[in-house]
Amino acid sequence: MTEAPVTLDWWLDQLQDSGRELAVVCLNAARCECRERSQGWPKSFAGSCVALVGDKCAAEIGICTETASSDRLAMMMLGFGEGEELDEETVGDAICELANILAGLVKTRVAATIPGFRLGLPVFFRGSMAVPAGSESGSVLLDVDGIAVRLLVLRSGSG
Amino acid sequence: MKILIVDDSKTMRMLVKRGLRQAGFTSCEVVEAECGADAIASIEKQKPDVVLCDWNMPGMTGLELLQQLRSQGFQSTFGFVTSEGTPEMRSLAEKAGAQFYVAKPFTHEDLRRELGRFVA
Repeated sequence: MTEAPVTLDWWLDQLQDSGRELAVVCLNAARCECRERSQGWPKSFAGSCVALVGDKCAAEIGICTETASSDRLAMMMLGFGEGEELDEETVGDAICELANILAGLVKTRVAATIPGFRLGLPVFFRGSMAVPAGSESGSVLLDVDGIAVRLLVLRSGSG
Repeated sequence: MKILIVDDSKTMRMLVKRGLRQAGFTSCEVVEAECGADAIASIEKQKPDVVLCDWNMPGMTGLELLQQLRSQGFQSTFGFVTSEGTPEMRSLAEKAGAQFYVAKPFTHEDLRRELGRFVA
């Protein structure tokens, strides 16, 4: 363990840095800027979450966008051009895979401070999600080549 | 040269196939499996020279697949393409008999560097 204070803001730092790497390497984005960092999660969203499960703490890492933006993200990820189309199942699968990669990047970044997290499988989610008592949640809004992408974190336990 | 991609995500299999093309492995035949059980069946039938496998999959994990294959004498090259990027996981993979490890997100240069050691 290091002396770094593990706060929600620290988690948002890891999330933001991981999101930038995801945008540049996975989506080939030319621009990725943070527009907003906030406590709490959106009341309702569509996206994908992945659990990080540890012995003393746990976290959920997620990604969500508007429906039209999900299509654009999936097309960026797969290198599809204008005029090409993806079916709904493939778009959902791509968003899940983005969440999976994002969670892996976060896990790698936090490993020096909180070792031993196990990575869960991505779950597609649509609707509202209540934050459990004793948990803290926050989000980072990124502008990825003009697409609003919200990254989510929820942490519970001593991490 | 035949390459088997094992990943429960269709998107990821598409990305790995595209990466292989961009990395210059255009003459390789690529086959796919969605899970460990499918991979075992495909390996028996297709006899791939190289297996590129995800780590976290429903049912059998990539690590469990590798351990089972090696215990049965499977000798072909096996590598992980996974979002598990920590040194701990790399070490587990190596101990189980993986020859290379590509952490997501990856570029085609990453695939070329790792696979180039095994694929002509």
